[in-house]
Amino acid sequence: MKKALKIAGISLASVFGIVLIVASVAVYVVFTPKRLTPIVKKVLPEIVTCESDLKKVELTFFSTFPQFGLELDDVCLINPMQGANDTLAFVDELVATLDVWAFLTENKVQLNSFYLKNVTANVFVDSCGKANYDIFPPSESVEDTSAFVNPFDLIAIDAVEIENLYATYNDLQNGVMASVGQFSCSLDAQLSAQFDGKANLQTSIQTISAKLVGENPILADISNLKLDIDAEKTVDIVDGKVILSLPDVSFKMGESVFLDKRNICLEIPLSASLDSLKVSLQKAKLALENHEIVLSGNAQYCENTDIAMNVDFATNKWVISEVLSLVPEEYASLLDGVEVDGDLLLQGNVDGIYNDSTFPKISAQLLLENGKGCYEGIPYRLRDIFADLSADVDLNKGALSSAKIKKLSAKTGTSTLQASGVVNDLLGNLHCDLQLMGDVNLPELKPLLADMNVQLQGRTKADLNARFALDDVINLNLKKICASGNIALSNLDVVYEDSMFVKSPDLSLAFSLPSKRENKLAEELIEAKISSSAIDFVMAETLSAKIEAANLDLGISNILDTTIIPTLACNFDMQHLSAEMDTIAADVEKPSGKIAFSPSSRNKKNPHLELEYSSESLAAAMGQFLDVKTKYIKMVASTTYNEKQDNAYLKWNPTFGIDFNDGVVQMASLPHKVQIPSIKFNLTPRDLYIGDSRIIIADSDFKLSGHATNIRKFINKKGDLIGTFDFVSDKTNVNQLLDLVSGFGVEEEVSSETTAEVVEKEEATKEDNPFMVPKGVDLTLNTKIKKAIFGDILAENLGGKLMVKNGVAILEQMGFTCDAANMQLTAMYRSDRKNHLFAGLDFHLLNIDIKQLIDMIPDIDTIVPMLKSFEGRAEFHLAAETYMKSNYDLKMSTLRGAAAIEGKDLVLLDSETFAKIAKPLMFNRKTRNLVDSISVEATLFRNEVDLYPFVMSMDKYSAVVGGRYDLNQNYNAHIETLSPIRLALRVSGNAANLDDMNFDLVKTKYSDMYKPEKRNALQERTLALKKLISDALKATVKESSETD
Amino acid sequence: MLKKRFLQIAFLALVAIAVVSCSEKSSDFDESLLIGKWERPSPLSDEESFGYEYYRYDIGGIGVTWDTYDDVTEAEAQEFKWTLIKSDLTLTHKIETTDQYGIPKVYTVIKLTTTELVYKDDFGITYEFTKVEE
Repeated sequence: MKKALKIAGISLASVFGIVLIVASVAVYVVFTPKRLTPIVKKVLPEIVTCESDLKKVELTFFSTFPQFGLELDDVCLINPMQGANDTLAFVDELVATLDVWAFLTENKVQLNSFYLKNVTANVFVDSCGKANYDIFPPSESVEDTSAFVNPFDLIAIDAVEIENLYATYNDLQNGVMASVGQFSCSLDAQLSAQFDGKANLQTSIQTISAKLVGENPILADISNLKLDIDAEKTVDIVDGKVILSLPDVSFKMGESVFLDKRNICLEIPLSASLDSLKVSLQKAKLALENHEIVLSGNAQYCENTDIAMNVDFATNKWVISEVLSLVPEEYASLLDGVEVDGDLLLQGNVDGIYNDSTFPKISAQLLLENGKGCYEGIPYRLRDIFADLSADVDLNKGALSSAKIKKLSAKTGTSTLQASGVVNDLLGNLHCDLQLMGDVNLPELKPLLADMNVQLQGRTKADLNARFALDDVINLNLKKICASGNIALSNLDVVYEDSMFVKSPDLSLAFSLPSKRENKLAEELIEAKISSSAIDFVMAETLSAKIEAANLDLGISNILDTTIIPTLACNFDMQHLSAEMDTIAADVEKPSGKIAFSPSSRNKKNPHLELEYSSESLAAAMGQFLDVKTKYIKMVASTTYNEKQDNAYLKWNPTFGIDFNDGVVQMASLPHKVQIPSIKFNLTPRDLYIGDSRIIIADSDFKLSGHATNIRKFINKKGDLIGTFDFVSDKTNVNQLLDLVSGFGVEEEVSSETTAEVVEKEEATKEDNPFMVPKGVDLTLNTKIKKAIFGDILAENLGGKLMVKNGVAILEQMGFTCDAANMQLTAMYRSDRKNHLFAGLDFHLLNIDIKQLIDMIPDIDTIVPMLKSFEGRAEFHLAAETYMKSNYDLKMSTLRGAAAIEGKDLVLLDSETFAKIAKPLMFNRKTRNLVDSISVEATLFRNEVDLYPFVMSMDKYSAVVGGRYDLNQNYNAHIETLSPIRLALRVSGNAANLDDMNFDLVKTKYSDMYKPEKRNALQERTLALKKLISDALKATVKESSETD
Repeated sequence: MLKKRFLQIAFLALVAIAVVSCSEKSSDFDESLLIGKWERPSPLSDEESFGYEYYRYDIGGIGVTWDTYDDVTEAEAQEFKWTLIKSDLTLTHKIETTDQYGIPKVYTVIKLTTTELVYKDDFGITYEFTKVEE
């Protein structure tokens, strides 16, 4: 065995030795450089058309052992074109080794090594596009269009090395200049006949410089480039990894420097299917400086040119300030005034088809932490900015993109803001669904209000939601915008213009768009609720108000729609409200109510206003002028505008209702306060209802109730105003009520005018303003008063009617009783025209005390002057009327009147006049002269009074008195005694001056008047006229039962 | 006897005087002449203002009166009823408030022609009117 081994070893050594000897002979004896170099030089012109040269061609063996190699030194190609470097290419050394044995015996091309050293290339393209590298002769063979078939079983490249390659490229036609310095690379590869195998390429370039000449020249400089490619192909699958390191990259376009010595790094593991043209990436990393993007996924090129891709991408944490520092200086100006920083993370996915018309969908998530920033236009510096955003972008036609704000928050000062939401149709009409929350320290709003002199204190917390399309916001299409929110203010203290002060410990506002409230009047768009436990409001010494526990519920329609009248509805309630303005003050407990403004239901173009108000109590004062207090009060009012009407009432169609209890009204112009225990009335455009009202004024206590209708027709002059009211009172002090209205509306003025001027002015004023009884009115006031005080008279069971009808005011048969008398009064006032006013009265006093009669009606002394001489009770009837001028002066020509007085057991008082009369008639003068009875009738015509003869029996005397006198007290009277003696006395002259009056004894003329059998015709007529007068006067007396 | 004769003559003389006297007072006036409108200067007239007092006697014993001095027109006149019995003219004025004719005024007509009306009252005041041509 050993021997065999020895023999085999010796044999192999011998063979190896022979091979070495043959190789040595071939290298050093047969294929010497001297022999090979001329051969190659001779062949070179056939290969290249340009001038070329080389120094040496040498076959190597030992230096490339165990492979044979070919070494070429100083290969040089001369530039065939002018205008460029003389040298097209120069190779200092080129060595290639080939496995000859494998090539010869196994049909394998195994390039063991290919080595280039110190290569120089100068590529030049002239302005016509002719290139200096176009140095190969045209091929004479027919172009082979058949598919490429690898003729070798294996192609193996163990080592391809290029060392120190310098190249320049100058393309005058395209304006491109580039250079590469110190390019070195090495390639190891092994490929089978099916091109399966492995390859490894390592490249380094010391410098790369490129320039594209043009209007905006592009300059690029790269230093220390390193490229490592490691790939393996199996059947149709290529797996590999590409690592590209560009530690020093500069890029400039025009004057814009996009990269300045920046570090770019690509590390791309990939897998590709050559059959399906699909590339897969596994965490491929692209980095600019420290800013990395990692890509994972795949992309496939389809036969229809579609590129289907599904790639995930993610960044490492980017610092925004560093990213912004990469922005070219030219574009950095866009960020002038912007200071922003923070840590940014971006990740996402690109999924879909890319072709000429289709884009893949992009999903991205952005996370920003520790952000801060400011903008010079916004007076705030934000910090602690946090953003968690995502977006789905689909650029395809008709597709929708969206973005989601999971959380976006920031702080400034002591205020915080936070937002979240979704934005749909991101690339079209943005549809937003956003939530915004804020906690704002109000003083920090001051910079926003720099133009206003306002001081703010307090905090506000806001929670706002909005859902809208951007177009609708731009077009203010409020109907399509949904928004709601709550704003809560605490410890609010606002000073505006140093004149308006608002304070509130808490004030909240909630709103909703569209409104959720139900409004029967119209559709509401915005709903707002405002509430506060307390509000203090002061406006520069003119107005101050305090509100406690206030709630306002507000609804507003689309106020931007100018085609219709907007709707505003406000419900309010408060615990307490007090306010002062100048001399006006109000204090209200629990006011609540509603104010509504809307289009009219009948005509949408006309406004309609409604008001409801109630409060537990109300106290209001207007200096010393007015003081009002009520307990429970409720008011309802509304108005609807009608532009077609001319009259203000018909234009506004008011309705008004009021109901309150325990009211007290005091006015400076009223001597007594007005107490209103209760009042309730309702006014509609057509009707007025007064019910359940009770009023107390000093000693008067009355109820007023009733109903008036036909108001619209009355105003339209199409019908009468018809109404009936009841005035019911237990006690009415007429004196006090008259005091209330005495001088009402007449201001007292201190004037330097003379009395005459004042009188003249007053007369002129009177002439202008007589009371005109409205026409077309049919109103009745039924009175029922248990006790009424008039003067010193206490009237009881007073009842009657006050009517205003067809321009006439009538006090109809007002009946009453009092200590002095039973009374009935009918009075009439009519204003036919301004200078022709009618006043009349029909007055009956039954069983009246004469003294009180005169006290009650002083004017009776003018008509029956002797009445004041009597004492006792009488029956008095008076009817009188006259027309008046516009200043209420009597028209004496129209004065009419009649009076009748019947009395028994009267006392004739001693007086100066009686003394004058008694003496010539020889009466006994006593202080009190008893008179059995009298029956007096008198008429008034124009200014003359006819006193019809009446008998007066006194003591043993019986006398007749008659005559005429006028209102100026000019007398022509006849007094005649019937017993015990018959004498007649004529009294004439003016009673104003008793001394100038004449008392003359004259002939008797009434002797037989009271003797029926002896009366003459004249006396009969006289008595008939007396009866006519008396009957006419008594015709209107009601029975006492009727009075009741 | 002489005394008796004297008394008889005296009585007849008194009767005659009385009859004559009565016949003077009892002059009949044609009331149809009264129908129409009569005027006289208003007794209220003064230097500053002037007017007429009117009485219009209508058939049926009714009439109206007005005074233009007081700015009263015929349409606004006040009503009265009238009677003319022999020479006694009685005007009973109406009180509108009570709707009663309750103010009698009695006059004695002195003259009544187609153009002139004169009457006086018991106090001796004479009223002279002129007929107004319609």
